[in-house]
Amino acid sequence: MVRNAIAGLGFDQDASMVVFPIAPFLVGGDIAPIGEAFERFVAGLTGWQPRSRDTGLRQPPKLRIEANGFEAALDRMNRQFLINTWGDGLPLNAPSQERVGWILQGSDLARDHVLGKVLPRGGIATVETIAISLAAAGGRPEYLPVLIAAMQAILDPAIEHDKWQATSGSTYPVVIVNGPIAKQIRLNAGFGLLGPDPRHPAGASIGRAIRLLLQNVGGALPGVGTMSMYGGMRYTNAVFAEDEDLLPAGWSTVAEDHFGIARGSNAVTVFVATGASNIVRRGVGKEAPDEEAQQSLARVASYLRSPSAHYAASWARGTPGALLMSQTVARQLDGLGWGKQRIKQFLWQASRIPGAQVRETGLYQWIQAAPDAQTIASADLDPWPISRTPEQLILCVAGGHHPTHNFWMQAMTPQVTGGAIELPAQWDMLIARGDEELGACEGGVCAI
Amino acid sequence: MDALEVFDPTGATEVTRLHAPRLPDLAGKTVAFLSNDMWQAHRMLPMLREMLQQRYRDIRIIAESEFPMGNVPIDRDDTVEQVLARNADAVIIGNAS
Repeated sequence: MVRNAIAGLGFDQDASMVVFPIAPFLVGGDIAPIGEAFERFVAGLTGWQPRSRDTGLRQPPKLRIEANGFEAALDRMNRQFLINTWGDGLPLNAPSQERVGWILQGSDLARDHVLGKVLPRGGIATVETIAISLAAAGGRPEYLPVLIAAMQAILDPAIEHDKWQATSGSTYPVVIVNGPIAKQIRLNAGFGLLGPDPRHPAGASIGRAIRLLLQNVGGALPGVGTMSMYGGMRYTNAVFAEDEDLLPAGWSTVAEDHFGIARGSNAVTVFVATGASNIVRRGVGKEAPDEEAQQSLARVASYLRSPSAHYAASWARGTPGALLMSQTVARQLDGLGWGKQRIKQFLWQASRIPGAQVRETGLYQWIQAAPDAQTIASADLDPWPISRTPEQLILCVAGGHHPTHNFWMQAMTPQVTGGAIELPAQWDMLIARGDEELGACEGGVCAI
Repeated sequence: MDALEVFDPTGATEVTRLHAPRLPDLAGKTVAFLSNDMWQAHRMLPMLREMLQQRYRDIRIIAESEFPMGNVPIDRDDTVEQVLARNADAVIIGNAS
C-alpha cells in the first residue's frame, strides 16, 4: 500500500519503510516491536537505496498469447491475467487491438488523451486505458461516454479517490446517470437495477470496467493496495439511471440538484457508498394514506440516524448517502403533499442524532478528527445532523415500480462529483447499430 | 498455433521524481515527524523520537505535533512547505495500516 502511495506521488513504486504485523497498530497493542526495530528506522534514513534512479514514462508492452486455437488462447489469456493480478475471477474478453478499436468508436477524444492518474498507484488513465478495461469487461462502444464521464468524476480531486481506494472501509463508487443516454444504452432504472439484468446489460459492464481500472491502473488490489476489509459491491460497483420519465411534476433530477444540469441533458453523478440497506417502507395496507406516508419516512429516517463515522468525512460538503425511491412511492408521496424538498427536510430533521448518543458511541471523537474546521465545530450540536444541510442528501427516483421498499446507500463522500456526458459525432449510428445487434427497446422494455 | 495479442490493462506510469539521497549519518541532523494520527502513531512516534534523541545527542527533532496531523492534512503541499521551512534533513511519516 505504501509503495502504491509513493508511486502515486510520481516516484517509482518503491519506498523506504519499516513493516510490522497488525498487532502493534491496534488499540492497546504492544508497541515494543517498534522499538526493537529502531535500527531499521535509522537505516531507512541512511543506508536505504531506491531500486530506480531514472525518471520517465513506463509504457507496458502488449502481451502475445499463443495456443492451439482461439478458445485455448482466450483461456490462457484469462489465466495469465489472474496470475498478473489483472482479473476479477470472472472471464474477461480479450482486450485486443480490434476490440479496443471498436470500443473507441464511443468517443471523439484522442486515444492518448489523459484523464488523470488513478491513485494510489498513479497509473495513467487515458481514453485508451479506459477502453481496454471496457473491452475486457464485456462492454460496447456506446457505453464509453458514461464510463469516461464516470472516471472523470472519480478522478476529480474533490472526491478524494486516493483515500477511499486505500481505506479499510468497504467503499465503492455509485454512478447515477441522467438524460436520454440511459435508455439509449439500456441502463437500468427499474426492477433489479443494482444487479445483473440481461435486458439492461450496460450497468454491469461499465461498473466492472470501473473496478478493473481502480484495481489495475490504480493499484487497489485487496489486502495490498486496498485495505478494504469486506470490499462492498465491487464486482460491478453500482451504475444505474434515474427513472426520469415518471418523476412527479416539479421534482428535479439528481443532476439538477447537484450540478444544475437541466433535465433532458446527459450527466453522471458520482458518490462513494459504504453500505446498502433495503428498507421496508410501506405499512401493512390498513393505515390511512397520510399515516402510512409519515410512518414510512420516519422509518427511513431511523436507518439514516446511525452513528456512522463516515458521516464525519462527508459532513461539510459531501453527502451522507443516497435514498432510492421508486416512482410509485415518489408519486404517492407527492400526491399527499410530500414534495422532494419537504422529504429531504423531514429526513434531515428526523435523522439527527441525540448528543448523548453521539458521545456514547464515540462518534464525537470521529467528528473532532474530521479534516475540516466546519465539521469539527459541529461536534457539540445536539442533536447532531448527519450532514450540514438537507440538500446534501441524494434523493434519487429509481427502482422497480412497486411501493414496498426504499433503498439506502450510506456514503463516505467528501464531495459529490460529476458532470455532463460528451457524445461522439457518430452517436446516432452507434445507437442504431446497438438496436440492430441487440434488438430495439420499446416502452421501456428491451428485446434482449 | 494461434496467437492473441492483447493490451496490458495496467496503463502507463511516469516517474517524475527521484527519492532524496540518504544521509551519511543522523548526527547533527534535523529529523521531522509527520503523523496521520492513526494506528497508535500517538504512542509509536514519541517513542521513536526519544530513541533517536538518546542515540544522537546533537540531533534536532521536530515533533509531529508541530505540523498538521491527520490523513488529509499531511497530504497537503502546505504541510510539505512547512517541513521544508523548518530545514528538516529527513522525515519519518507514520502510520499506514
